[in-house]
Amino acid sequence: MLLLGPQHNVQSLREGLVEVGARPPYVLVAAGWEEREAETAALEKHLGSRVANLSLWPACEEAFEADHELRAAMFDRQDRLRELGRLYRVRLAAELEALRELLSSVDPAAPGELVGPALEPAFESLAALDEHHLGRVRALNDEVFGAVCTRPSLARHREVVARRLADAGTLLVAGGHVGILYDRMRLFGVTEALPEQLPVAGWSAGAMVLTDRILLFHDSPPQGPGDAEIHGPGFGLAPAVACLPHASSRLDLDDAARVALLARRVGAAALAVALDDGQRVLSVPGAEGWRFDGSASILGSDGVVVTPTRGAAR
Amino acid sequence: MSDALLDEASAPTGIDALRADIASRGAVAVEGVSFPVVEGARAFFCYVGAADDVLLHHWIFGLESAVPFHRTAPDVWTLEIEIQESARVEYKLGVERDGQHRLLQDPLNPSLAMDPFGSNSVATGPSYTAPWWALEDRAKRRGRVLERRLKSRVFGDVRPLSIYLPPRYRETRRYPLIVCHDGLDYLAYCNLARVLDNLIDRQEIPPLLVCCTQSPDRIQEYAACDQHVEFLCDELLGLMQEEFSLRDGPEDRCLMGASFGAVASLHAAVERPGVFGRLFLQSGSFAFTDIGPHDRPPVFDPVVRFVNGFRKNPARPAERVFLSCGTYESLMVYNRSMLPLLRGVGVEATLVEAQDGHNWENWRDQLRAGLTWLFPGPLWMVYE
Repeated sequence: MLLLGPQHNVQSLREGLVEVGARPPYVLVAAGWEEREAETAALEKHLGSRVANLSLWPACEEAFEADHELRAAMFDRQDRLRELGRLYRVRLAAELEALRELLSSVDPAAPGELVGPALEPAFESLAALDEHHLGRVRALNDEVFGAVCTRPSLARHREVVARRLADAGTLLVAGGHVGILYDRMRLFGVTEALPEQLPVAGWSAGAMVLTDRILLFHDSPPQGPGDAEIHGPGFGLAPAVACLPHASSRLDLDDAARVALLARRVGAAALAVALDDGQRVLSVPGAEGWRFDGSASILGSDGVVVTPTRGAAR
Repeated sequence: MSDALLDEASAPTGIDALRADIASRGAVAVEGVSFPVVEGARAFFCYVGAADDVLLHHWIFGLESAVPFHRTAPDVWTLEIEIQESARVEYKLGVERDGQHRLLQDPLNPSLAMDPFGSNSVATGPSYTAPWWALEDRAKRRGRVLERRLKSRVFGDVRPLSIYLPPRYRETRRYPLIVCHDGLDYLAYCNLARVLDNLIDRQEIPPLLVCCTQSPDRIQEYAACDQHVEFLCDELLGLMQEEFSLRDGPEDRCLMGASFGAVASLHAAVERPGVFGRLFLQSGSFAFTDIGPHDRPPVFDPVVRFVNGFRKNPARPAERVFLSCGTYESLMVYNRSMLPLLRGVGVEATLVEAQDGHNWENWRDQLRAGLTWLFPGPLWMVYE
């Protein structure tokens, strides 16, 4: 398993694939690129190899055009997901405001005997809210995808996906729109058809969907409060890690309180890993934890961002 | 203090040197110079030509609207005024000669702003920057503007509509809808289609449709007119829902307009709550009277009645309302007073103030803030 940061400016995928012993033939999911899904020339040039594109984007478009009931079910899910998100954010804003206020006057690494004990229940409350929302989205996803995945409009391409994956040497999952990527992979049963022990590499959004839960984040978006939020479950192929691609541009890594808050928030269940251009972490069969290559960083619950030395395992 | 320091402290700045040069050499001194020359908070204007009097006409509420130039040299007139940091001031020059008064664009200023009535010269403060997202075509893909004609039962005539479809519009998606009053003017003078292309391309707003409508009698139809509400909510929305793939909740429908167009938007939302859940109100003509008659033209009578009624008994017209207004507008007090009123009835509302006047480029410059606030884009979801 290989998790990488953005590959636009610094391409490190090929090197990472060697490290995890991944081999061609490469099968690609790039549905997060949406209409640009077929633009794989730069990737193939970097790999020095052709990739078999699963083409989930056009397959989904065709299914939506042909099957109005499928489309209606997905629209309904979208509406319900949006309402769940709205309900979640109402409470999330209050929970985060309380934590920011508590953290604002202390060193996150040593909050002191008065503030410290007040932080614990506040983090527990936030964790419970995140879990609650995650559970509701998971239930909604299971209900809707469970109902639609057997529809004939999806059957043919689900078979194509399964066949290509059966012959694959490695699965590659590209970044892009993380919600669209997850939905398309789920509709066409990508992870269900994944042969055991098949090496998987994902970058940016592609890394995020492989983890247990998809965490959306941006400290200073063009609009809105910039409160990181749980989007929903991931596929759980890369357990106990939270991927934060574009970390240095989307997060204020010099703000110890914000770093501590985010790290503590995911830290109970996962390692918060900042993945900037070309950075990567990997796990290899038989080895414990995640191995760092000396570039990717970990957000610490003390508010400090550390870069493990090359080869360090966490 | 040494003589050297004294000399340095009192050395003339560019404007001072230019004024002295004009006094010394006359019109030759301004050859090749664009005006106004702006230094910090100082703006220096110049007019060259025979005249009995030269005046700067601007539309800054609260200041003398015609400011006289001084004759600095034969046939060279100059004026220095204070200009604010981010100001954008539209103006014309009034030139008096032999009892004739001419209003003209500043011949020494190449910067012009267009509007439906012609164009004005523009002076800007040192921090003002024209928005690239309205002026430059950086989007990888462009939307399309379709022309439709809507046979209106309400008005008994045919209304042209210009409908912006986002790039890659497809029936298998659903889109938010904005209905834009004076929409053809927004397209022409705010570069609305280009703004939408750029913001959609940068994922700052989601792909959305904008139905641009233009009234042949906006002063009457936009002035809190019930017929217009029926036209919007029944006829226009019906056509859009029939022809295009739209999301169907009020949170995905927005009414938008400037000046009387903002009044028409608010009025429709008040009359039909729950249809349009978003409002984008620019320089709204929300005139009211707390006591006594209003001092505006009679066309404001129905507006004042509506706003007075709304102030007396405010209802929640929408979920989110974005207001913008120029600090040089007489309407600012009305717009500021709208903010606590809306928040008081549970509306999520915000007001952005610009150092600008009642004009199309002011409204253009606030489009990004308003659109992204009302319809945040998918940037949050994208990790390339």
